[in-house]
Amino acid sequence: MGSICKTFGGIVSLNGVDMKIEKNSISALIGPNGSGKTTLFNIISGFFPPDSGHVLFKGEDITGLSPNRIALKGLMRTFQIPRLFHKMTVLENMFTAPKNQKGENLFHSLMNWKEVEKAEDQNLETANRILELLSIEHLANEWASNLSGGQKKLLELARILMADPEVILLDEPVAGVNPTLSNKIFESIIELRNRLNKTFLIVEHNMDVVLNYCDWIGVMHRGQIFTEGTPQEIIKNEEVTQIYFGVA
Amino acid sequence: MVLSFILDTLIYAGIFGILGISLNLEAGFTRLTNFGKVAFFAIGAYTTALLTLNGAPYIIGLIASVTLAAFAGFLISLPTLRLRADYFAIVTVTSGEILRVFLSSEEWLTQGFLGLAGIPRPLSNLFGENYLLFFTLLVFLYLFFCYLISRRIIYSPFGRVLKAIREDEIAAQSLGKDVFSFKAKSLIIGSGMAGMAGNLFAHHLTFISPDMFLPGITFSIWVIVVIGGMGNIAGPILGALLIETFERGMSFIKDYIIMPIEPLNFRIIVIGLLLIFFVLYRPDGILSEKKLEMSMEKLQRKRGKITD
Amino acid sequence: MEVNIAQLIVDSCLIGGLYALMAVGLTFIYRIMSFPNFAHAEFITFGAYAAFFANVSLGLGLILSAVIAFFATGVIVVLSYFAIFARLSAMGSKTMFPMMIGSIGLGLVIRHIIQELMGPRVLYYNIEAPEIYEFLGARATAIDLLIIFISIILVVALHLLLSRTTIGKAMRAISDNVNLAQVSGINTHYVIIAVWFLSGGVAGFAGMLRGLDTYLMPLLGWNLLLPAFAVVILGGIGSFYGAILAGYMLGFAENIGVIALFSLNISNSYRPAIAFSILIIVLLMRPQGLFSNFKTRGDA
Repeated sequence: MGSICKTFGGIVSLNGVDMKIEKNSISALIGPNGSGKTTLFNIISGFFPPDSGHVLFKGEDITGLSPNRIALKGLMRTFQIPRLFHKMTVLENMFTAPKNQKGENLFHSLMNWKEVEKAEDQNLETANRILELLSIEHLANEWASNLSGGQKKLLELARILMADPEVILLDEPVAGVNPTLSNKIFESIIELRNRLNKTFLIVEHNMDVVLNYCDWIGVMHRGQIFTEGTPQEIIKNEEVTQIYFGVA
Repeated sequence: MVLSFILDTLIYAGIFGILGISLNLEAGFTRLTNFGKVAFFAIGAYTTALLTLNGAPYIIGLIASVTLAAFAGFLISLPTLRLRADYFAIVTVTSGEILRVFLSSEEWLTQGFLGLAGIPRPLSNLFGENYLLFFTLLVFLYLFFCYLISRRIIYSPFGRVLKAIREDEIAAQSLGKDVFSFKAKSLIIGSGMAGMAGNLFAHHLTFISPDMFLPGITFSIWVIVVIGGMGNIAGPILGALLIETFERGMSFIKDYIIMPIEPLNFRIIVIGLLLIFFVLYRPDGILSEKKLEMSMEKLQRKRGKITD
Repeated sequence: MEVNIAQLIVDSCLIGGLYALMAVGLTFIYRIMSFPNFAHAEFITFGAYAAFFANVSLGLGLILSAVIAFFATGVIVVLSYFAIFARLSAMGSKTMFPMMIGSIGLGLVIRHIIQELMGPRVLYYNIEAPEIYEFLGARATAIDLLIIFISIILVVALHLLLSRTTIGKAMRAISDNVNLAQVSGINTHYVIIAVWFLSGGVAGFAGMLRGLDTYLMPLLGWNLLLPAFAVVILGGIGSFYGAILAGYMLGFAENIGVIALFSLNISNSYRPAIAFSILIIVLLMRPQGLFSNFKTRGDA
């Protein structure tokens, strides 16, 4: 129970959500559109304050902190529609990610150029590795605005991986990505979880990857966590299929 | 005669180039719609005027101009930076007007509408006849300095965060960047540079009064940045050269050609039309923003150099 | 300290009415086109000078001059919309910035064309010396009273327009939610043009009133930009009633403030600081103003 987030209550779109995320797990939130998944993400990551309830992270109450403070504490998220820096190249987008870069301090960037250069070289190697992992290294010097929809999703993913937080919230990370690459991505997610002790919470509609790769699934419906459990349990749950494919 | 006109134009181009670089940093790279540049310009000018008229050496005037203007930038950033871009624009433009009221009313300090005259010129005793040439070179020295600083900032990780803020504040926040702090720093640097420009302005004209600091100046600087290219580091310099040549040219010509239109009005109408034209048809300006090419080959080449 | 309350009320109603009328057009355009129109100040100036042309150069009476001010400004404004803002608006999202810049350019052009044609010096309308009335301790000229009452009448007329007529209701619908209005069958294209026309017309009319109250000069409108924005922000962007209420509130605040300045021995030229302070305070404490409820911080 290392990194936990627990929230309950919320704006009209969330009606009493109580959730615990296990450290080092790969958890997923599924549910029809409008069930409150993205709102939950917004609250957890600090972009929206909840009307009531708390978010606890590693034992600390982070409710209401500004998003950048929460990000610095090690909890970051991606966005449903990728928020890329359009008038910057793919590599530049990657380079914005690492936290606490010396060069971001005005004084150092003016005076300490040698050190900044070294850090930048380091960034370049890391960035290229991640881009190769996601098979988009050939786009390194492209304007981010020139990428296709799927490529933009990959870049957002690459960027947050570069930022290296402990807990990563992914909002539909493989929407618009072909199945082979999707699987490859999720395999990397598993590797990251194993090797680097990361925790993932993923919103997805793609049931294949969710059932194949996640440890825990929460099903949201109308602002509440309707049911939860392991993939095996969820598959057997008839109400889940009803929510997704029937009239609920 | 013609020479002094050319030097005068170059001096104005240099001063406005500095102002343009400062605005480009704020608006072109950080998307701070600062419509109150003239206020920091005026602070720089009045600070050095008051100090040097009271016997302080030029260098003190210079330091004070930059520092006080930068500090004013800091003060204004506190309540306003969290506002939306349009509110920020409204507040900055009105702040400029309030400052002008202050400068006109506090006669004990600023002599109000009479202005401050007789501002000493630095090192004037050394250069005598060639003073204008010296001052032109001085202005370009400052311009070059500001250019280097802005270049260093833009190509640094710090500048990268500014651009990120410009592109998508929310994404920048989600990566842990303290957006307010970066915006404030951008504004402070920009204001300091504007103060430097004001310093040069005061010493060049040797007379300043509140009517010289109308919002028209802020808008001229915006034209310079929009035309030159927002997001290109050298853009404002190009813009300043073009606009100031035009402006000074107009004042010069009116002595020799009878124009059907009052030159002042003509100048400003042209500036207004340029703004409209560029915003409709060439929003990126003349010089466009450059890509930062980074590649593994470049890195390897550099590595190779180091190990030799 | 003795305060002439009756005079205070008279003065405040006068300038308050002017502020309200000036802000109405600005607040609508701000809401519908999503940008602060810095050229609005020059619409006010244009109206004042159009009336001057009618009144002094053509020798027409005040009423006719007022009508001309209204329509001439309205036409100029609609032309500007077609030339500049309609095109910018069609250029995709994030158009606020180019429209702000465009409006500044437009303002500069209008102001300096006026200055070129009419000269930079102060001008006056052709009216006989007005009678002066005194009651309950307040002094007001016939012109002052005229302005006060005409402002009120125009406000009422606008209110009727917005609440009783089809076009008025359409304007309010667009002001609320452009997309929804479009979907519900309103021809937003025409209504927007109508809003620009009205915005310009009322501004021009207000400009003439201002010229009657004081005098004409090219910076007439620009000097009112700050109070106009203060009123719009205080009232809430897009709110007609907010603009009216805030206009009168600012009128009172300024006149009370002037008395305060006087008693503190501060120069009268700091009058704009009152509007400025109100602007800052509202933006810091309740940016949505009195009557509005939309997002005010970034684009969360």
